[in-house]
Parts: sequence; structure tokens; C-alpha cells
Amino acid sequence: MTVLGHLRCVRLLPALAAIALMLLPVAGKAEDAKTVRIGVLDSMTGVFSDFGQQGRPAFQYVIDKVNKDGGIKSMGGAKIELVLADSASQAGRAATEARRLITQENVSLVVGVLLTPEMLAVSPIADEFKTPVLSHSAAGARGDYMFSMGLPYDRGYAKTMVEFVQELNKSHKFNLKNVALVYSNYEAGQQVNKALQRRLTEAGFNIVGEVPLELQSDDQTAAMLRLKSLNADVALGQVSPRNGTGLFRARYSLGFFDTVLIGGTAGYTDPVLWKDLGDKIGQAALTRNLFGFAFSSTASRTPSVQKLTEELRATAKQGHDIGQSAIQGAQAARLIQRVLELAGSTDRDKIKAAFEQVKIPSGDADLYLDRVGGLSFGPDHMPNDSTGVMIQWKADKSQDIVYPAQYATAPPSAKK
Amino acid sequence: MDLFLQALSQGILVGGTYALIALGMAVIFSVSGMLNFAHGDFLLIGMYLAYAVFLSLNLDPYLSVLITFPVMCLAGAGLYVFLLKRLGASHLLMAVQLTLGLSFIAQNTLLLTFGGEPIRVPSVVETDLLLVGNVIIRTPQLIAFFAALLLSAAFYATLNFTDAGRRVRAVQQQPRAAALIGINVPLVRTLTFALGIGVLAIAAVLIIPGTSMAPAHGLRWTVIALITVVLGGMTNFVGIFIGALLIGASESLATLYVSGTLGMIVPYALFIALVLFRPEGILKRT
Amino acid sequence: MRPEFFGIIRSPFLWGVIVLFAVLGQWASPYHLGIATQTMLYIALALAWAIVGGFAGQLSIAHNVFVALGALLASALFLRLGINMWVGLVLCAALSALIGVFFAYLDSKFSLGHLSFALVTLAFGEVGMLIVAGWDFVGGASGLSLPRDQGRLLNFEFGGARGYFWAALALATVYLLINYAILHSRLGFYLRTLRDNEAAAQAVGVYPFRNKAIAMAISAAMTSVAGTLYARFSNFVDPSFLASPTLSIEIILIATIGGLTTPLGPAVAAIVLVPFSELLRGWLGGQLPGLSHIIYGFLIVAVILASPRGLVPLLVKIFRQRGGKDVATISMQKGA
Repeated sequence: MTVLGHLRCVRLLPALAAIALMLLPVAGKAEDAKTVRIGVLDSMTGVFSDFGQQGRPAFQYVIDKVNKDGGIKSMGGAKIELVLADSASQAGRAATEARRLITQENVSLVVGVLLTPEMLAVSPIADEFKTPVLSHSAAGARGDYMFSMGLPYDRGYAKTMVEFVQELNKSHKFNLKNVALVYSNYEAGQQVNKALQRRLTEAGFNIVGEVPLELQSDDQTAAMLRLKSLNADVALGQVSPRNGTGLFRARYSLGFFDTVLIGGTAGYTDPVLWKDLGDKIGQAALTRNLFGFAFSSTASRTPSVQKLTEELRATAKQGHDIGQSAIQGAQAARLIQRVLELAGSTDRDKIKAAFEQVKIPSGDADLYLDRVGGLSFGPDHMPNDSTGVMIQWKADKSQDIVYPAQYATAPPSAKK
Repeated sequence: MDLFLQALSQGILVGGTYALIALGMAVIFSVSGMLNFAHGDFLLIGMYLAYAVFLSLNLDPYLSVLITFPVMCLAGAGLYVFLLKRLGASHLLMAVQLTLGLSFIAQNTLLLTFGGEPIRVPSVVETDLLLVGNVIIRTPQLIAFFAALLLSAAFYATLNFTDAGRRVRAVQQQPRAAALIGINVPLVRTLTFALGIGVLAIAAVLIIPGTSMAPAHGLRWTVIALITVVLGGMTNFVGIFIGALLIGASESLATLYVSGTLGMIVPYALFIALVLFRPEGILKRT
Repeated sequence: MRPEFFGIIRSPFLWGVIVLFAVLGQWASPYHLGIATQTMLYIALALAWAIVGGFAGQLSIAHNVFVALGALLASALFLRLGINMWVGLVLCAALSALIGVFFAYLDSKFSLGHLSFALVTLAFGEVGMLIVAGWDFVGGASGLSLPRDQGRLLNFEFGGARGYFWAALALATVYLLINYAILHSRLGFYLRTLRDNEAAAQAVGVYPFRNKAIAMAISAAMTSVAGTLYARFSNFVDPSFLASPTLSIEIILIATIGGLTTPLGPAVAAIVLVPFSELLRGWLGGQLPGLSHIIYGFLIVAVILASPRGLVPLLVKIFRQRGGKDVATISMQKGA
């Protein structure tokens, strides 16, 4: 007998049709001449939620300021309207939300934390709909419409770290020859590790071994013991905040400080480390033989950064300090302001062209990064100057910048 | 040799914390045959509760357990009475799905309430270290280890040698017969659920020193608890304790001696081998 | 093949719904098409899983390994060795089937219980993820990016959002028919008897290993094929999603919530759950991140409490109460 062919089954049809109706397009909203709609796509939930939760408030704070100060002047004082979305820390979900922002919400551009995998998933959509997308932190920019303020794994992370080690040997009497590679075993950690291996070998360092860290593990005692057994002078690598916390707890409890730790970004440099470790372990494990690689630091003496840090601290939630994710967020907002001023239009291709031309030079009040070359995009849509800073921690939980020399607030110190 | 001993002792201590977390899952399984896939999220709720008590009353986690234990017990009883009881015993898979649904709710409620950044609860012996020979031991981990040992032994003895334990086993094996001989089956189940979730409050405060807590960490704890419980033979609490130590030690030693991916696979490979060759649990003679 | 199967493939209702979906795809916006494609892929994955999880009653949590093979290995073979993705699809499906048979072998050789089987496969799922993350050939933890789709069908390109939706719809339809075919075949009957009482089944001459191995091989190969399509659809092949045991758990969630007694279960559950969670996050995710996941969780709990046997039996009950004697009921009774 015809099981599904039974006539009464017609009853199921309305229900299924209703569900199918959800597939129908929602009529696009009419564009207001006086506003620029921007899609904001951050990882607000899931494993990378701490990045989104730090970056977004700073981004929103600066955009509010831009609106209060008269909006985008070249567009007759147009106000920026933000359409918020959550990538749930998953590349596929980020792609879905990017599609929604671009095709349903009719935004002129999309901006967000967008870690590298999310960037890779969003870039085909940016190209398909010819909509510019700005990532705060991705290590690359694939496609024609993707731009990233992040640092490339090789000429950003690896280059800065290796040159810093050479600088330590040359000018600060460190004698670092044997290198171990300690990194979080995920996308960023592995990519930085490959770049480091190449550059270290070229520079004549002796690589003695690798210690990949399991991303979800809290206890890194065994990893620290492995590092100890390698007898390395220095350990380099990209480390996540959770792994960083585990390493420093192990460092404290094993009392093992011989190997200089150099790495980042957030896992060695985010103020949240102090919150997670507590003062005692923090003071013991963070303040000696440790140098963190970061996009930027609140320790900067640059007036624009100091002013921003003060303002963000005043608005931050109780007990939350400002880290590089917040500075990246604020910088993204200023960059977008400049881009829109340049474009003078909500036209997506004009905005893309403006991204290619925009330049915030060193010394500008809107530049929150310590880069000699300021902030502008090269042909690869990544920052032309992609030098990070190296920091060291002080016992009062503040940082010193120790590299590059022109931004240094203190010399690198080797305390054993 | 020092390195070996240090890694071994650390692995065993971490294994102790795995045992603590697995006990609750086994308690619940012992009476209902249900696997709680929100187990890790309940552990996190226990940790965040301790954090909330610290914020409002400035209590050390070791003391706040006096408050969080009863709260979690009530939550466990509620979980059974209002949700899992309605499923009946025949729907193991549905219980898994229902607790997965709870996991979504718990994880994201924590996120909305406490935010996504890691949180720390200060505690009295958090930073204390002991030196045994050349081996350094973290005091809070030692405390957690002995608590795990004590609880495992106590559960084992209760289940095997007391009337209460016999009732629990009767309810597990023959619920109808148990009811016929006058055992209040729903009550026994409610109480064991309460205990199974309540014991997570104890586990939570014991692992707080040295553990990062963030809302997304739940599933990993659930997987660890599952693996430990199966390794131990589901309801053999001593087996679970020893299984947990095996997992912890193999993780630690593999990290020290086997590099990279292979090292991370070792604990899972060990688990698979043990389940294949000792399917009734590591202590059962087959 | 029993006559019920031919009844189903002649069912105007089934084809009506499928044609309705296909036609709606013509007008849907890219955003909704993306979600619809994802929904169809989840239907395919859930149906593939249901062959072992439902018919054979084996709770495999290692299906992420098969998705990973289909998605990452097929992409890697194409990117690194220039092997056409259609060929890669077949190779990876065959490899997945072999691994599936290996799981079935372990199951029968060591006579694992349901729970042990579930946990052993979970461990294999975790190992699979670790191997992918440490294997440079398939991109390690960074994954792979496929070149832009140019609509060349011979190169496994389906040409834009609409093309992928139709491809995924076709795949889901084929999988639905395969499930019905197995359900009403001798294999399906053997699997159900093995599930319900292995000893009795053996006594009347049903070989556990052979039947379970066939089921596992079919299920694994189907999962792998869906993985390959998922990879080409998403362009960026993300191992933290496609190789993660969390994906296995997600697939099982959808399959069981729908109800495992009928192939309609996984299909209907995916049609409800996937768009619900995606649209809800789009709607609430910006203002109150996390709230959409909470509502999703409540929906799951509510469905299970309302109907522990799954969503489709619940729908059937509702329709029956309204006076109709529903077809799905009949199909279920035959199937169960």
C-alpha cells in the first residue's frame, strides 16, 4: 500500500509549508541616506568568546564617540549604525552570519574580531557579494574584499620574535642558542610554529625540540617538565590564554625559570592572566625571564594610546583590565571612520577602494598601535608595517615595552 | 628519574581530580542507568556557585561547599523529579539528548551571567607547595586527591556493604522486584540523583585552585568523566578511582616522553585497549 | 525489497514536499539558501548515522571521522595531488566504509556492549580529531581552502548558493530513499532483530558481524560523501568543525530528537532544529549572545519531555488527535 501516498497526509503539508516559508527572502530595508550600516561580527559565545567580549565594547565605545562628534563629515554627518552578530567561535556560523549581514541587513561593510578560520570562511562571501570585510586579528586576508588589521604569522609573529631574540643576544648580553618550540596545538599555534622553525633555522639557531600544548588542558606540568628535559635556553611560540595560564602555574609550582619564555599573544600578554593566576603566582611566574609578543600594549608612552587606555578603563566593567583585544577593537573603529570619510559614500566598491588608500600615520591621534609605519594596507590587504611589540611584566601587573627600541619603556631584564 | 617521578606524581594527582568528577556520574548511573551529558556543565555550575558565594560573602571555596553542596543536591533532586523521571528507564539515548539540551542551557546561562572571560576564586592553600624527596606537589591537588580516595572508598563501601547500598543496587538491577519488597524506588532514585549532582559541588571546590573556569569548558569534563566511568566498570567506585589515575598518569607521562600528536593519542589508545580487553572494567575478572 | 518501499517512492506527498523545497530555493535569499543547504546536509548526515544508530541500535560517536575523511582528505587529494574531487569522494567513501567495517569488527570480536561501543567510538572520534590536527597533508589544525567555485560540475562544483542547495537537497532525498530501502529490506529486518535481541537473532541464523558490518560500511560511506559536499559548499574546510567529535554529538542529537523509528524522524528534526538555531542566533545573537542557545536547549528538553520517542511520533500524535489517521503512523508501525 502507498504509505506516504495516503490522502490524509495533506494535513502535514501546511506545517511543512510554514517551515519552508522561512526560506523566503525578507524584503531589504530601505537605505537611510543619513546613516551608514555596519555589520559587527564577533565571537561572543563559544571557545573564543573572550576575544569578542573584550573587543566589542571598545569598538562600540569609539563608534559612539564618532557619532557624538558629528558622524562621518564627508557624508554630511552621517551616523554609523551597528548591526551586531555573533559568530559563536565557529567558521561556518561566521559565514552564515556574514551572509545575513550582507544580504538581509544590507550593511555597507562587515567588521569583527574574526580569527583566521572565521576570516577564511567569510572571505568567499565577501567576494561573492563584493562587500568589504575588516578583521581585527586574522593572520591573513584571502580574496579581494577581505582586509585584516592582524599580523601575519610569518612576517608579523615569527619575524618580530626572532629579531627580538637576536636583539637580546646582541645588545643585552643574553646568550640564547638552543631553542625549544612551545605552542598551543591549534591553527594559529601550528602556523606560527612553522614560520618560527624556518626563520630560526635560517638565523642559525639550534632547535632542540617541540612541546605542543593540548588546547583544552588546564594542567601543563608535564609539558613544562618536557621543556626542562630539553635544556633549552629559550622557548618560542604562539600560546592561547588557557595554555598560558597552565604553563605559568607549572612554572610556579616547579620553580623552573631557567628557560626564557618568549611568545604570545594573549597567552603571555593579556591582563586576564593575572586574574586567572592570582597575585602570588603571577608575580612569581610572569615577572622573570618572560617576554610577551603583542599587537600593542597599554604600557605605550604614545599619547593617543594613553588617552584611549584611560577612557576604556573608565568605562570597563569592574575588575576587567584593558588588553590588546580592546585596543584592536578601538583601532578598528577609528580605521573605519577614516575609511568612510575617504569613501564619502556607502557604495561598497568605493569603501573597498578607500581601504586600499587609507593611511593613519605614526603620531596621528587616531593611531593606537606603536608602529613606525602607521597603519595602512599593502597589496596583500594586511598592514604594511606588521611589527608587534615585545613586553615584560612588572610586579604591579603593569607592562613595560622592551622592543622595538623606539617604543621601549624599559630594557629587557633577565631575572633568574 | 626526577622528571619521571615528578610527571608520574603530577599525573596521578590530576587523575585524582578526574575521579572526583567521575564519581557523581557513576552514582547517577548506578541507580538509573542514565548518562548525564551535562555533567561537566553541572561541575561548572558548582564552580561558578562557589565564585558567587565568594563574591557575596567572601567565603573560601573550602567553606562555601557547605552552601553549594545542599544547593547542588537540590538541583540534582529537581533534575530527576521534574525531568529525567518522566523519561522512564527505557530511554537511555533520550536521557543523553535531554541532558545535552540542559548543557546548552547551562553553558549559555553561565555565559550571560558571568561573561566569557576566565574567572578565579582565591583559596587558602592555593599556592602552597610540598616537597617530597625531589618531587614537588601542589597542596590543593593533594587535598583533592585524598578527598577523591576517601569518597571513592566511602561510595564503594556504602554500595556494597550497607542496606542503603543494597537498596540502590536492587533499584538498579530489578526496579519492579525492589518495589515489591517495599523499597520506595522513586525516593531512592531522587536521593541518589541529589547525591550524584551534589558531589559535583565538592569536586568543584576541590579543583578550583589550578583550574581555569569558563562557560565553554563543560563538554571536556563530561568526556573525561565518561571515559573514567567506563574504564572503571560503571559502578565500581574503586575501579573508577584507579581508572582515573591511569588516565591522568598516561596523559602526563605521554606528554613528557612522546612528542606531539602521538603523545596526545596515548591516553585514548590506552582507554580503547582497556575497554576491549577488560570490558567489565579494569578490576573485574573476566 | 518489500512493496512498502515502492509505495514510498511513488508517494506524491514525499515528492510534493521535495519539489516544494526545490522550487522555494529558486526565490530564497542567499542567507536563507545557506541555512537551507546546511539543513539538507544535516538531514543527510543524520540519515546516514541512523542506519547504524537507529536500525542497528549502535551508538557510534565516531562519525566525525567519516565526515573528516570525506571533507578534508578529498579536499587535500584535490589540492595537493590534483585528484578530481569526484574521484576523491569515491576513494574517501571507500576508505570510510573500511574503517566502518573495522569498528564493526571490534564490536563483534570483543562483543562490546552498547555503552562500551559508544565510548570506544568516542575515543576513536577524539583520536581522529587529533590525527587530523597533526597531519599536515590535510592542513593540520588550519584546514584547507578550496579554490573559488566556477560551476564546473565535472570538477565537483555546483555553481553558487542555489546549486549547492539543490545538490544537498538531492543528496538528502537519495539518503531518505536509501533509508527506506534498507528499512524495508532483509538487511533492515536483520538489523532490527539484532538490535532487539542479538542472541535470538543469532539462533535463527542472522549473522551479527556480517549485517552490522554492512550497515556500518553503508553509513560510513554515506557520511563521508555528505562530508565531501559539505567541504565544497563551505569552501573553507574547517577541521575544528568537520573533524570534531562535537559534530558527531550534534548529528546524534538531531537524529534521535526526530525519532529513530522512521527515516522521517532525522529529516524532520533537521528541518526544525537547524533553521531554528541559525535564525534564532541571527535574530538574538547580536544583542544577547548566548540567549539563542538557551532557547535551543529548552526546545530540545521540551520535545523530549513531550515525546520521549522523538519529534515525528509527537507530530503524528498531534495530527491523529485532530482526527486524521496519519500515514506516518502506518509507516512507523511497519518500520518499528
